[in-house]
Amino acid sequence: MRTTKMVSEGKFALLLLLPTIVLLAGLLLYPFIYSIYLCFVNLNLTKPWLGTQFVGLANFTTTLMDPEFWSSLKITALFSGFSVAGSLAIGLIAALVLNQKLMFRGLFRSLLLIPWAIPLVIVGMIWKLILHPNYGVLNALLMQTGIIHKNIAWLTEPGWSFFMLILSELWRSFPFVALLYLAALQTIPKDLYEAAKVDGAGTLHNFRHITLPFLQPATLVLLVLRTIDAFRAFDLIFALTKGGPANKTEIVGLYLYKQGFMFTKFGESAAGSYLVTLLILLLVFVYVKLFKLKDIQ
Amino acid sequence: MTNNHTFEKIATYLMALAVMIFTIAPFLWILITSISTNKQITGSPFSWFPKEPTLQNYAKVFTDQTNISGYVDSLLNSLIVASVTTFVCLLFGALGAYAFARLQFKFREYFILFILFTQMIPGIAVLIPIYIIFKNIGMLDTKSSLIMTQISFILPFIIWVMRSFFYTVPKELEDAAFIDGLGRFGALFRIILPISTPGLFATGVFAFLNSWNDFLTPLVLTSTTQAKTMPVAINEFLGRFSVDYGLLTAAGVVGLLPPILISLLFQRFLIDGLTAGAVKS
Repeated sequence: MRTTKMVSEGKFALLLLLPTIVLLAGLLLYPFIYSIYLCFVNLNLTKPWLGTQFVGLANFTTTLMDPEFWSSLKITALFSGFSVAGSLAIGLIAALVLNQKLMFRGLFRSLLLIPWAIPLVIVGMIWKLILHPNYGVLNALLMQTGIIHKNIAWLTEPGWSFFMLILSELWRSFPFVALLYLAALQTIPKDLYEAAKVDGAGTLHNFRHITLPFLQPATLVLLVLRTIDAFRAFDLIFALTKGGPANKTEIVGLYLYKQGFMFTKFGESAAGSYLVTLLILLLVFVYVKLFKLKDIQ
Repeated sequence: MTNNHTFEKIATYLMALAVMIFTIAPFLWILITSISTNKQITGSPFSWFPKEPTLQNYAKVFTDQTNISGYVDSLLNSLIVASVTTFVCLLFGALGAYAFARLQFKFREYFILFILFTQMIPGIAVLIPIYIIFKNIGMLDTKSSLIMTQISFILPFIIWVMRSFFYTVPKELEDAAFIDGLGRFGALFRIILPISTPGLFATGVFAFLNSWNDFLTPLVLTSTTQAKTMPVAINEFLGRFSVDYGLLTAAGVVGLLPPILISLLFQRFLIDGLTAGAVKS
């Protein structure tokens, strides 16, 4: 009786997925295939009479031979390294602290949501203001406490701009890490610590042998997510420095955007994007392997 | 022993305080700036709090359209785009996730792989063809092209997350619904969706935040107040040669309110949803 009354599973599934299939086919699958095609052609948008030319691997080689691509990749690697390591470290400390019985713990946890939830462009705006050379609060604070005696142009001095970028990136990214670690900490059974206490183990010993092993799965997830995030960073830097001064903060996302939408080198931009994606996949692969290796030992 | 304990307690509180100051101070600073006059912001000596706090910057955000061209329009655009995107993502997402969680069909595994794969596609690479497509059909700089693009970016993730929520709904409940004479749609909308409300809230907030905060898509696809969203407007304002800082920060605070309110309002679901996948795996 059931079978006669109800549509078959296959047909029903197709019905349910139809809107998704249509949308993703048109605005994700087709653009994806088109972008692969773009990697191998030159649209000649500036010389339309030439038409579209097949150029083989030229878009890849041009990108790979562009020193600006490599310098942006180097900055991205540095940026990602500092951002991932820094956010995991600060996030872990914040989570360990907030895992204690504290007054206002709930409020603290709620406040962590603020930097995470707001648009990165506004994060950029906030820090641009704080770091303003003449009216910024950071200079004022450092001047009043006598740490510096002259205003510093944090975002336009080549020596400082990168670190200030990292500072604002960490402000944005550590709360997510803290929230994830906090959730992971709460899965650790309390009696493990109590048993260790009976054995006379110290806090440090507990941290290494109980806490850290329990945090391992969350750490792998965070490493992967944060690395992808950092390698694809764009909004914050666009709002804060636009890559300056003298390309000192030009990460690869910005480079690819400029190639594509400012210089209309669509092919090179697409080719570069896929090179970066390959690099991200490679990193994720290495992370997973490293964590597996650790499990075996 | 007790001394040691007190010391640990104080150290913990100090650390917590440091983390909280780092988290909240930048946000408080733009709040303070937004209620100061420009004279106070740029004048010397430096003042930590305005002597006469004022709301004139906020009034200007909504009335002074010459100084902050089309900001209110961009806010409205953001509101429309984010609401429609969220609604459609939740609807299509629920339908799709149900299919993956409960039904057997051909190519099911390939579909799931495709959904995962879409998360690896670089945004800039696909935005180029999307830009070309909408340019060719004359739909650049419209809210609908922006909405469709955002949905296609966000929907795979929503389906992926919702699928895991649907798995936790016991199959017996559904079978009971079938016996009671509900069809498949009935079971989905009357049994499974109501039980999965926490999951729906969490994914809904994700979709909204993703859309509201998205910068690259509207930067590429929109150009005028017809479709330009809030982050693009803020960025333009930020890039001007001389900036009215009071007005800028007030505009920023207004743009921050929706994501902050929504994430605080739904924080219970959000934190559960945020952490569910990562902690268990």
